[in-house]
Amino acid sequence: MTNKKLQSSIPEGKIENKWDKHKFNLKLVNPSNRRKYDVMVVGSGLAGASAASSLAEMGYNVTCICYQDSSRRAHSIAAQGGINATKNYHNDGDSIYRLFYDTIKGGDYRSREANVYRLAQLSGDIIDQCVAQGVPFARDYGGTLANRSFGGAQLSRTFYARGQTGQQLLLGAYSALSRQVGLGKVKMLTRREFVDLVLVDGVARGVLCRNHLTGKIERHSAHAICLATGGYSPVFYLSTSAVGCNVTAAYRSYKRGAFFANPSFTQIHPTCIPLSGNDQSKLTLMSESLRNDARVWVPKQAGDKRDPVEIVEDERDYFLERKYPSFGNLVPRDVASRNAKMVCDEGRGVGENGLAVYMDFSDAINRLGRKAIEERYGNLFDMYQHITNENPYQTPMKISPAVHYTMGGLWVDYNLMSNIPGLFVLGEANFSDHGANRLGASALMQGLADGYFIAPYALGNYLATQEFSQVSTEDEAFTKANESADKFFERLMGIKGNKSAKYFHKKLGTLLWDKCGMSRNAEGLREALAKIPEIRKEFWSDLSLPGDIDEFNPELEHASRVADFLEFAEIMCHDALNREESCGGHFREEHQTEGAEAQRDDDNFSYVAAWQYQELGEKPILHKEELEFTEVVRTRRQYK
Amino acid sequence: MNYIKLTTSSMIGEKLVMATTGMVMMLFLAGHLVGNTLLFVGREEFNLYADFLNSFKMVYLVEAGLMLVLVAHVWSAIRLTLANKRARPVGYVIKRKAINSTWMSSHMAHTGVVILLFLIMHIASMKLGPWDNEKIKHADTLYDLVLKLFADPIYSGIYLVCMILLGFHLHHAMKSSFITLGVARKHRLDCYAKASLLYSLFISIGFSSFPVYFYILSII
Amino acid sequence: MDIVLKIWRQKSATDKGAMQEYQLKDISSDMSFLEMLDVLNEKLIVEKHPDGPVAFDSDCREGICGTCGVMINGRAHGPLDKTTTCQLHMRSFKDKDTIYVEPFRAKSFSIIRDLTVDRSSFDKIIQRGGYVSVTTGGACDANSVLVSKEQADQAMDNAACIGCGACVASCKNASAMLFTAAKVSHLGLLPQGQPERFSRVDNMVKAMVDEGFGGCTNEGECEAVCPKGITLGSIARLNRDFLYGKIKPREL
Repeated sequence: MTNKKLQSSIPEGKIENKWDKHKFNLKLVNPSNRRKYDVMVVGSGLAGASAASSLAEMGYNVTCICYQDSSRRAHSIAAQGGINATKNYHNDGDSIYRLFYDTIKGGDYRSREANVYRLAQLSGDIIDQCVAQGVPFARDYGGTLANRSFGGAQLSRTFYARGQTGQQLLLGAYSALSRQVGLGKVKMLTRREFVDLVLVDGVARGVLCRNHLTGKIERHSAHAICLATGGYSPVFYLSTSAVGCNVTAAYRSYKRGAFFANPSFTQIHPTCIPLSGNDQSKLTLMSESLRNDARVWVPKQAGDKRDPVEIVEDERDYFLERKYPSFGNLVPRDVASRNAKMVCDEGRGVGENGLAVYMDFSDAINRLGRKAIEERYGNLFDMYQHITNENPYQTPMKISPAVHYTMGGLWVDYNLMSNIPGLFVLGEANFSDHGANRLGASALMQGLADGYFIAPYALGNYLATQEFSQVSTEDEAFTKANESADKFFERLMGIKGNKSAKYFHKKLGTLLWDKCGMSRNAEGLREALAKIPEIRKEFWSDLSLPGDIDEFNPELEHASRVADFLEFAEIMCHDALNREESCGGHFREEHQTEGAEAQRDDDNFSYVAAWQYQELGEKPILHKEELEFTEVVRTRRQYK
Repeated sequence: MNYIKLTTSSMIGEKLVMATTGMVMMLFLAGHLVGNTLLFVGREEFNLYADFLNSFKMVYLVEAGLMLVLVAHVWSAIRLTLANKRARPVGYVIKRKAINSTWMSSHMAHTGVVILLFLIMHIASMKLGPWDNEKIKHADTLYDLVLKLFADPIYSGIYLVCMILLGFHLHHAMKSSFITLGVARKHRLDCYAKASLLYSLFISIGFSSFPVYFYILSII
Repeated sequence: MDIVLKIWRQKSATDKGAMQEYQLKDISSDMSFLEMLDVLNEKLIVEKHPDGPVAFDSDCREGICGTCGVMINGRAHGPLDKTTTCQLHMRSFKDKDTIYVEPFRAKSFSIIRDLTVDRSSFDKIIQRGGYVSVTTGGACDANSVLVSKEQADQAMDNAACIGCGACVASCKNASAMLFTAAKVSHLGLLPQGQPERFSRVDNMVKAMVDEGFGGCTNEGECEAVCPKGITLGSIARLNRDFLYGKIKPREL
């Protein structure tokens, strides 16, 4: 059943004309009127910074907040690989349609055709924009832009700046934002965290944020609000995300009525440096490109603790090559991760805690020589050695999967507006373009497309169609939200228990990783749903918070994020439990083929699951947005 | 380019003044040293050289120019040093580890003060000292004055120490000037460092050789 | 391994602050420096220590966001070259070592609490010119302006700056020259940065002075601790552009 509340607003017409036609139909705000409108942007990553700067350039009055000490530090900065665009600079047959097709297929047919097509259409403009900003993309000797193939793509469409593409794109957006700050068009507020969304007559009209330095709750009235607050990977405690990434803004907006879509769609990256010890705070990703020249294996014998070089060829199981003879070590992220988990579950995992597999370069070194490998992967090998103190030229690397990206997010329509009028959601924080699995080098593309080229138009249309009115920050809605925010923080400070926020965060993360991680089953998910409220209860009775409420207190910041994770985890499990199929990053053990491959159920689950908040502890209400496929024929992903 | 505007509007402007005035003085020092090697040749040759220089009326203009350069150098140095001190009002408990910097580079102000004091002494005793080459027969020519002054172990000692400190000052000064003037390129920074070292050794050893030579001469 | 930590504790900007000693036992040498501080904080919280946990900034913990940074035994980001604090591991220290941890210090980096400092001055320098003035949508095709590989590579060397502030912390004069020079060089090397090349330098240099940073004495302490390997060559380039901007003829 398709719910009436979910109007995806996808324009009519042929897929290649939809966006152009839609742009024409969007209402415009008179340039001289734009300065009357206040726009609030939450988050300053790729999506946030690009939206804030573009909107300010157009003439809107923009306020942007971020929790970091500077808008240049958002976690978009850590993306390594690159950004896709359909420039076809390499004459290898790339086109908008091909990128669209690859992205839809890569997302396992759980994303909207129209959105993805628009993303592919805009990809080229992003590159133009970034180059004009002075992003130092890699160049060929003739001075043109260099490309590489990335993430299993069969053509070279990935633009990159060494292994720091995310950093360079973010600094580009940051420079555009800084320019607007310098011109007085954007008010940039750092060390502020989103606390609550303020609704007036069901319309998003303001934001409360906490000033980390003073502990003061600040009120911001706005005519439209953009959330660009990133993903929620740290719900698993350990992930490749920054330690400060959180679900707070999305989750609290959800509590105010925004729908949360596909929360169980999380991406697990196979090539991370394994966990060591109990006190590790985050996982470090190594570029996927390593798999091009490595062979992944584990010992055939369970519990074999010998030095890997002592284990002879016959005693090794090259499980990816064995199971997927044609793709071998280059199977997609989800398949590689899941198979690594399977061999570890069999007790054949290696490393300190048996959760890693070997990634061996010895064959490649013998074949190509050490020098060639050094040229290709020198910096990655150095990084590995730096962190683990092991020399990967001599002993095989140990890798293990880690949570890396969350495809799920707040539900948005074609205009990137949530079901709450005036609340726009951009970048990783929304659910829109990646379906059940994201392809490499497309997160940066989506964040920037949303911020530079979609939000500015969509927001204008929204503002032009609303009647202009001002909401005072003394309005009752603000006062009420402020009171409940105060209460929330006072309640946290008042627990005076014995355990740190980290303890609960870790406990929740371990549970989720176990039950709602790489592979899930109904029993485990139900168990998690039973346990999460217990951890939450313990949190609210035994949390110990040092310091005061009205001072710089990083522990309080962390605790308030953990409080949200502890509630949010439940809808993840509900969503995973509801989706009785395996697709992309979501693998239900009950739904697999005989060859242990994911089995999608297009007849029953070809929809976006958007969840509506009920009282805490109650199951949220599910709304379905049926996905229609008119362009592509859905096939099963095959890598044998 | 307006001098006042340049120096007051930015520290780099002021640094440019330091570097250019420094470079002028470094050129002068090299010339001064080469001329003074005539001291080793003999009394007459050196006195002739001194007379030759003094025969130009322009020499006063050059001297005045050098004076101006020196004043600008010192003035900018004082202003920069004070501004730099203000930039970190509270220091570290544990002394910062020196990695690229040396005692020489981080004590430019100190060596600078010593050199300034030396200059005053030097000008007072040599330039304005009691000598007149006209009365060549009376053995109180400039050459004789030098001889007399360097025979004093205290004077020679002070002179020697100052020349070593001057070497220290120049060692960083020249390299730093090349960077401040923007002449240095990334891959040539080492060459500039080496050139700077050679120049400072040349000046320091060169000028030190006079007191050493004449003092030894006076005791044998 | 067992270690003794001496950490600068200061409750607020106005508080006086002092070094405090803490003991940690059985620290794994594979732990990162910040994880070691996490362990200390966990201990201080659970024991309800009157000092409370040590406040320090960190975010990505993979050496790219530039949020972390403290002085470790008198050296910014600790003993290793080209390494941020979060990428430093305890194996760089010995058992029974005493480790001194202090915040980055400069007039422009006021202390917020303990090891957390305010580096917003860096943002203000960028806001005064660290950009190319191009508005969204106004770009020409990316390949219509050619950039030689050398230009792109050298621009990238400078663009790698993460804005951590180690250069300022290590400079005798608390100068922000390396930071500013990295941005000036990055944009000045690319054709896209040419139209504003000289005004950019001028404005950013002015901003640097207005923010209260000291001047550069070309000693190179900054490049020694820069986690991204930016060199004095960039400073020379800034100076070159500054000088040329002053002496170039006004008439084109």
